[in-house]
Amino acid sequence: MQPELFDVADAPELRSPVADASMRARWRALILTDPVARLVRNAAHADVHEAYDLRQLALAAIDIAVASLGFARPVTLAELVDEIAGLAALMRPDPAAALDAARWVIKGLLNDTDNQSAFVYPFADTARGTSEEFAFKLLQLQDGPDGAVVLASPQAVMVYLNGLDLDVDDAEAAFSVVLQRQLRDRRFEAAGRTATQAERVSVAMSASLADVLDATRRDVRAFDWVTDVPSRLERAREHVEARIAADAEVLNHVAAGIDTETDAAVRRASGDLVDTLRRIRQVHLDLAERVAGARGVFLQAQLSQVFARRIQLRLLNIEAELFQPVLQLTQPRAQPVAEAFGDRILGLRVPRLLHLDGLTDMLLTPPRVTGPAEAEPELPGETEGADLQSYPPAVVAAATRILRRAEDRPVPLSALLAEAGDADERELVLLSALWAYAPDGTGDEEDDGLTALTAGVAAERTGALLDHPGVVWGDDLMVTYRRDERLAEGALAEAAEGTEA
Amino acid sequence: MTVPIEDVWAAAELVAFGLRPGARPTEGNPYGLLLERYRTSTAFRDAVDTVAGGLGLVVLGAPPRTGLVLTTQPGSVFAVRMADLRGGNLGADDKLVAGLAVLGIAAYAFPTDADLDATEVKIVEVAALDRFIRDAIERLPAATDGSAGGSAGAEHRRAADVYRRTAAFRPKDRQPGPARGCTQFAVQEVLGWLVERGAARAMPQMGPSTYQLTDRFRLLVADMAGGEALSALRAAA
Repeated sequence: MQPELFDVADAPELRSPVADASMRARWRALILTDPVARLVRNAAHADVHEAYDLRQLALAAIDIAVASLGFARPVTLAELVDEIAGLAALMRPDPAAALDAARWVIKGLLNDTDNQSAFVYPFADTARGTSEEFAFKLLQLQDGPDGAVVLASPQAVMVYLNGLDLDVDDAEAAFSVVLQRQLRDRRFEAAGRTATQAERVSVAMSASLADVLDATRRDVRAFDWVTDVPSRLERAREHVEARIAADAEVLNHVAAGIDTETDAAVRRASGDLVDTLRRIRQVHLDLAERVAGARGVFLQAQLSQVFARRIQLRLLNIEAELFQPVLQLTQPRAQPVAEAFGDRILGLRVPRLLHLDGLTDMLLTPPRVTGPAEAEPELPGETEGADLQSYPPAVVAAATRILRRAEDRPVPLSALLAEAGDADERELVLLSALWAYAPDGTGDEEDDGLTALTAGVAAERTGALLDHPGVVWGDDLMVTYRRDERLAEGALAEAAEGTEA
Repeated sequence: MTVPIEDVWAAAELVAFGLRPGARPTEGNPYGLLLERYRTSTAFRDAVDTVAGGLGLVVLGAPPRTGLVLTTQPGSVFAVRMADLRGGNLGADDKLVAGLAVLGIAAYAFPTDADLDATEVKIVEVAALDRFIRDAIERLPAATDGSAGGSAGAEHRRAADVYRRTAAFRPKDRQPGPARGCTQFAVQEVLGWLVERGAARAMPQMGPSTYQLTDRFRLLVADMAGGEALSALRAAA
């Protein structure tokens, strides 16, 4: 060790550029786009076609996420994928490959390779001789009524603003100064570009405020409402006030210019500028509305959360404290732990509501002989159909043929059942009639097939008794079948699948 | 304190909404209105909690976007045990693998304790999750007593080895997707059960076997399952 070698006390003039105060800010601005670079680098290993400009797609995804946050409602993941896939299809019209590219870009922005955790970059702080980690996310998902919604982080907002690492308030003020000067110099095209930039900043400002309000709605403690947020709101309010006045002034100036201007190019540029400025004014008005309602959001959130109970302290690291210890236990010991966990997660099952069709079927089917389970397991995606049966096309065709006998005049169900060749046909005819008589209201997804069927079959109680030993017993039904061209046999089959046999 | 009989009716109605995995509260629909009442009125909240308790249910939370999140008390008419799933046809190894898959999904979704309080949700892909579990198994310190040696009886095998020795993927006949008897099938089956209970949602836009975990899953893990499993672990260790 020779510490004197590094002793720089005698040479204060030589300053390391690393210690520069702006270094950290510029470093941050630099790494914000690294996730995009990374996903482009790795795309070669993932069979993403090179015709797709992934950088552009990534920027577009961020733009959509930020802009949707700035306005009415966050975009859902499904919508974002569709949107980006549509954009990718313009680069190379192959729907499947475009969808792959879109998924790849969004997974990259979500940091899917790192289990969707934050992007982490170490910053070497030479002044203090330490290394600190800078962690950030670009996009994140949140549960929404129509599926996961995509939220843009403050860092994503910066990428949206050309990687500027500065306060959005300052950015907008800077743009307005530039805009004024360009107008004074009659550089209308440049002014148009600046105005578009200024619009993006306004949207970003609106988005960051939306983020504050949304987080507050979830948890009042997410932001400091004693000093920080009120001052931000105050700034936003002043900003809107100043901007609306300034925008109006610029707008008048440009509009007055259009009337007297003779140069066609300048007139067109000024016209575009007027459009942009009008849009910006709308953004500002939206922002004003948001600022005005912010206090109410806070009070409302406080009111509804003050009584919120914490059932337990959630100080649990699942992987370290639960998952790994369980993996290391022997099977007989691990079993109860894994089951205790699984039982709680999967433990709530709503008993099937009894409906006429289900009930008769359940009561009247002969007891099932338990044999080796060789049936093909259903895909979990189609879980609603976990206990559904689908009928072979031949049975559906036969059942349709039988039901058609009721096309001209109503036929008693008992007569139709007598027609059936085998048990499956009989069951399908019976279920269709029962379904028409007492539609099962569960499961919205099933409704399409169901309505299609009940539109075709109608059933009325006759008062007579229906008695088919081993099949059904009860009130007989009078069945009518209305032929409808739309009711292809497929619809019947679909409806038959919907019956909870 | 007396509760008006209409409120008891409304409380029961809200519990009924909570029992429907498909029901979603929106601003202004009957579910949304009842949920808003639950979130703002203490008296109504107590009524709902009481009605639920009488049915053997526990209200875990009421996030505005998710609705009433319920779980069962042991012995409730609504309770189902993992052993009863797949028609009770789950073998001992299958049951353990399924249990490990549920734990794995939770470990994947909530890597730190702070994540249990965050509202962010994750997307889960079957093969990726299987890889995550296998990676976790690889990282475990090697078994000390040679129990991984293969010839050891079932009572000496580590849970990790049961999972590791099951094939990751077995192709299905003439159909895409994993066939029964591999761990990817188990993961997919578990995710399917989660979908049925409103704790996950299929996300076909992101891939054929991709799912999105919901806020309900987080509340179930954070407020019920985690604690239960910890006490079971303490009892087992």
